[in-house]
Amino acid sequence: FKDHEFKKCRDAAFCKRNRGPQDGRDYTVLADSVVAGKRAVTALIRNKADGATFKLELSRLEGGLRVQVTEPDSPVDRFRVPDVLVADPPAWGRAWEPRLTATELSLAFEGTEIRLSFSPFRLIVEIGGAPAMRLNGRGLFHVERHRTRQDGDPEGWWEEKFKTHADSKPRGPQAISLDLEFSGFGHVYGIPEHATGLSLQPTVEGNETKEPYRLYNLDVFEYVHESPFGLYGSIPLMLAHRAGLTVGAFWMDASEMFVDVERVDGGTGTQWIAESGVLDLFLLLGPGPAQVVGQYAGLTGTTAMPQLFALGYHQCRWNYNDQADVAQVDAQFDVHGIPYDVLWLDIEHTDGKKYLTWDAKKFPDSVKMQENVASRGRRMVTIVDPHMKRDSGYSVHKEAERLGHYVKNKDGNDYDGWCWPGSSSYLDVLSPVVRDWWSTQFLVENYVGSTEHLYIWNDMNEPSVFNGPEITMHKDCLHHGNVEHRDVHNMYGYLYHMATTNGLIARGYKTKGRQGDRPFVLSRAFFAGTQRLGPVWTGDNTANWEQLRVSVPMLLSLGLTGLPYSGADVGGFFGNPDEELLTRWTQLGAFYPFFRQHAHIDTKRREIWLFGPEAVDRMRRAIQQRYSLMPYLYTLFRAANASGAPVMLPMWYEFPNDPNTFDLQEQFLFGPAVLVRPVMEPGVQSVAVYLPPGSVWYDPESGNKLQAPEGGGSIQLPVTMESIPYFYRGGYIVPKRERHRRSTMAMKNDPFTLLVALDGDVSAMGDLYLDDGSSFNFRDGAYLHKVYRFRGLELTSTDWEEGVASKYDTAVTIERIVVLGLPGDPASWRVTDSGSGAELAVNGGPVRLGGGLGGSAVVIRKPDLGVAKDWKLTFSQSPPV
Amino acid sequence: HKTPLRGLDPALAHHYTGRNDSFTCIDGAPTIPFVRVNDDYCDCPDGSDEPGTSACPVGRFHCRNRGHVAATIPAAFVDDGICDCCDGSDEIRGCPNKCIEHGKRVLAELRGRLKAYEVGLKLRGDHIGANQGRRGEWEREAADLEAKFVGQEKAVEAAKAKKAELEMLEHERREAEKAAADGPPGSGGEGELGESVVVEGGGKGAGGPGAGQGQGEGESGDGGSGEGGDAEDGAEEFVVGKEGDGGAEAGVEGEGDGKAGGLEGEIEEEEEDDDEEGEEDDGGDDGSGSGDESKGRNKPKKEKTEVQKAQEEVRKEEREMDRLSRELDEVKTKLDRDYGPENEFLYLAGNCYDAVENQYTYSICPFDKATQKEGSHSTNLGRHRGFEDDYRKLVFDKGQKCWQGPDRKMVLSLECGAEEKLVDVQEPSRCEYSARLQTSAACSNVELAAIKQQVAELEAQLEGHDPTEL
Repeated sequence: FKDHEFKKCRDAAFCKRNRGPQDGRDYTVLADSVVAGKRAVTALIRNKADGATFKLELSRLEGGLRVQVTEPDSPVDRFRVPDVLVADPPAWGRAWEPRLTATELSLAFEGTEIRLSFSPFRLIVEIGGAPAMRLNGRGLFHVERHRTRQDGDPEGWWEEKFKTHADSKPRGPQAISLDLEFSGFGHVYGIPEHATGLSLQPTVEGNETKEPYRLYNLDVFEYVHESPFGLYGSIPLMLAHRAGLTVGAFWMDASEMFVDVERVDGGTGTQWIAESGVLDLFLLLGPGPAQVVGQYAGLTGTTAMPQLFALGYHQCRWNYNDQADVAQVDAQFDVHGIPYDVLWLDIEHTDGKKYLTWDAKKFPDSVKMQENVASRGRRMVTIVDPHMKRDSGYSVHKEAERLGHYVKNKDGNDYDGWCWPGSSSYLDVLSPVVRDWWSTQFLVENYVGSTEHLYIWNDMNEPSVFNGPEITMHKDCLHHGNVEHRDVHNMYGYLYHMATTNGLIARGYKTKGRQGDRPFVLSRAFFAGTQRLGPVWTGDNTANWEQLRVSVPMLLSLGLTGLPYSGADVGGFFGNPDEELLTRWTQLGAFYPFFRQHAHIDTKRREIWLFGPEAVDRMRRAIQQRYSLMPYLYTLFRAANASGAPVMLPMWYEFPNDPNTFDLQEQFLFGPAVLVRPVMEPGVQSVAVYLPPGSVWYDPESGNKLQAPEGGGSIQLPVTMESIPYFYRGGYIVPKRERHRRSTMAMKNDPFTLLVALDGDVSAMGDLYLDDGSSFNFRDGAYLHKVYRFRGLELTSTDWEEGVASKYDTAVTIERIVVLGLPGDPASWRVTDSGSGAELAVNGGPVRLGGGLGGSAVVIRKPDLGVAKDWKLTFSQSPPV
Repeated sequence: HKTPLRGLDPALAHHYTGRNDSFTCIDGAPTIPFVRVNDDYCDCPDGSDEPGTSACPVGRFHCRNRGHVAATIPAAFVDDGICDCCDGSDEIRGCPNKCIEHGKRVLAELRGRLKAYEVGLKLRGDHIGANQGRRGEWEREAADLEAKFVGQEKAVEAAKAKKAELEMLEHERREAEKAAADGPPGSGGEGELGESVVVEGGGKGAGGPGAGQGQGEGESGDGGSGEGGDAEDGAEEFVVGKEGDGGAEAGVEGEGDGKAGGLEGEIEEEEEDDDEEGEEDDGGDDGSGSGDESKGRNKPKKEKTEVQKAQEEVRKEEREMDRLSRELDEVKTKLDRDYGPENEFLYLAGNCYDAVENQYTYSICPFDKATQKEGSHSTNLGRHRGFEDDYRKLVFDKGQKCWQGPDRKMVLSLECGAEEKLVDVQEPSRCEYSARLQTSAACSNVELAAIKQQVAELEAQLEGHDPTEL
């Protein structure tokens, strides 16, 4: 990591001049300009000091409030972020009641009151009678208005330098400072991507200031594990949580941003400084974490429903050398009985780093190679990056050049930067025309040597420019519509990811017809909205324990900010993990939403079987356990797809009233029903796990109950190298498929197991979502979604949405029902199928299929209940206890 | 007669008699009703109740594979939509029976291997005989060198004695001259004498006795008899002393190398093209003479004294002794090296095997080194380290260091083949290479017997079958 390669706040003129106290108290709402409608308010704000006037708009949205400040008199349009909101304008919420006085405007609705104070300009959100958010409460608000250049303008307005790079800044200063206080909130979260803790630590404490959190998409070589600097992606969404209330704030701006966090008056003050754009702020009113996440999803969309294969284990390396190497690695998985779904090829597969081509010596028959891998139900992925080799023999480049599809430098010529292939240009994906053109490149007939089994990986799309300022593109480069790169930088990778994803969607309709094929494109850079496209990963991490640990808060933060489909490179990209680190990382990775092993070209081979039989057994077990939970995981993704729910959850998301959970990042929930406490240190004999008050948990091997200590508390768990400490949560029903298979496709016709973990009230609930795992037919209702309830000693299966008949039929059955938490001897229970009246075979058994003889669980043997059917089982005990 | 249970290995059939309508898991428990065998639900922790389904995590499925050899696959592969058994029996939805086709192909392969083994084993026997002869040669060579070395030790002694005698004479002559020049004895000409002493002590470390006389026993004695006196220091002082010429200087350096630990030390530091280095080393020794002459020409000719000539003679004889010592070491290293339990790999020594892969030519010289060449550029992939994995692998390590990576390393797998052939050179991880060497030395009778048995079984399968049965 080269710290000096990257700017600090003091190195960025806009941050330096806007950080800290501002003239926020000079801004005044002009009372006679206020127009208060049922769902919208407009007003003018004037800066008393310099007379600058801005337009304020407040809009009542579903679950939130939109605050926009624009500059109506500016001769130059400020950039407004396109292509992020799923509907623009978003859906209106219920009307509010405006009350206007000479000094303020009050807007009340559903237990919420918004007060707009006129002098100074201040916006206060009260929820349940208590202040929740305050805008400009500390007077840090400031908008740099449009101006023309004059002699004596301060340094840094019209140009600035960093190291050897000059930024010409022809449009002058146009930064915005946002002052947003979360009143009464001791914890704020989000604003990824930073390699740092879950609960954002203050950057300002009294007179002491540290670096603010930076949002600027950068390719950071060997990033360190505890730092506020900006990484590959940016989502300007912050959540604040306290017992009883969760709120959020999303500023839709794609320019470079710095965010300070400071504890103030029992709450948390934040100052956000963006280099350009407009203030387009969405305040999300909760009141719970799921509502805030849902409100954000309502604006920017939910997680794309992934194909089932994409949730399996991915094997990647820079690089698998050639076709023989691919065949060998693929075969070894079956030799060692390790399930996996996707084999990846990094940049060396190309002809001289010209993407969408093949190195003909190493991959003379790439089609046959893909078909061979696909013959066992697996897929392949190739890398495609946004830098295009400037090579006159490269037809894709020649066409892009001819059509003028590249980003221009400040002088209007094609921008020429240095990346893997050497001299490269970058597609101007801000232009919809360029995106459409790029999408067509992925049709099988255009991407020579590809097949329908091949999916894509977008790397380096921050974009990474080796000889650019901070390893990225010059800010004064020009995009479609004369937009400066400065305005769009943080969404460049997202737009590129979008074009690639659309390419695969188009390909799917062409190869598969009307049902289509869900795309799979992994991206490194991301922005708000990326969740609609595909997964991301945390980039080039390193093989050490600190980076294993920091992956958890990094992924939790992504989940909270609407981008749950994410993972970290298992094993660490740089360096060589020893057997213990790789084993622990694989055990943790099995609970990442996106699960991929990856390694740098200079590292030793690390395919699992190279670590000997003992290590193979341990890692195989971790991967098999993920596959056995695949029905549950797929159902979690359906929830993410429907509501934006995270897959990996911080403890406080499910236990929002327990302050002990607010800062927990050593453990997390894998969906609401599974608690994971990964082993994240070498050589430990035990780990501590915190159990919130009143919660009940079950060991997945023994079925033993873990009861939370009175009032909640930690218990110490002994661990071995085999241990993957995770627990089923009492009150939940988890659908599983326990037969060991080599891939997700090979599980398609397997029967299910229902794991019923009862809570203190002897009840539980869960659901199962099922579809064909690959096409878009689910959008037309071709899916199965059942809800299971255990209540009053009855277990029922009914449709998730009442009255919505499933259009996806399957003969697959439930082969095992395992009930944890029933009192007495398991063999004393009788179970009757209420439909047929038949008594089912019940015995005491192991929790996990193949877990040995006997056991504490009540196991219903082979009830052969159709998974698509409604049914009811009745439990009774004889003799009753 | 009941149809056999799906997926059941006939060798285990006695567990599945259905006596008392029950079945006891092969590991001993539990006992279940026989109808629960192959009922697609796992009752036995050992998986034995489900030989023909995917129900048990640890189950095994037996493919009979008529026309080919029987096989056992994990239960995980049963009814998963992918054909694994050549007879297709693992998929209830049906797979084409490809056993005859497979069997024929495998039989052809096996027959080919059999032939290679037979030829290889014969060659191996011949080579082992020849290897004995070669060892004998080395032993004789060693004995010969040993004798020469002893002789050379004597020659060195003789040369030293001669030099000492001349020095004594010279000393006496000077004493006489001094006396004649009426200076007090022992006080004049110190500088001159000093130079001479330094030359003696530094240059050789063996000229003590003669040099010690004039300057005081203690000091010159230390310099002279110090253990192998530091050659480098010697060289420096020699230059300061202005006594020698270029040739002598080179000579001193050459010796310095030798004294610093011999060729081994040199190898440790060398990264590539050690052979050439070695030659240079030898050339250096020879060259010292020519250097002597050429440099000599550039200087005003100065008549050598008798003492100086004797001193050169001592150096010459010592160099010869060192050379013999090195040669002897080399032969001994060769003799002491492991060439396999029967010395069967010995005949690979001294040979190199090449393979071309992409733009590179790989050359592996067993018991010596592995090299990668691209045009005129050559990279050392490692030097001989030894066998691993019960003589199935030959390892070369400590090759040229990779940028930000490890030292290069080559692992050569040894496989039976009728003739020596290097194949399949790869770089699975950066700077870690692998290749296979087919060689008759790797052929074994045990494996031959196994292949013969496989061939016999397959022939029986293929010949004994009735195609309609399949």
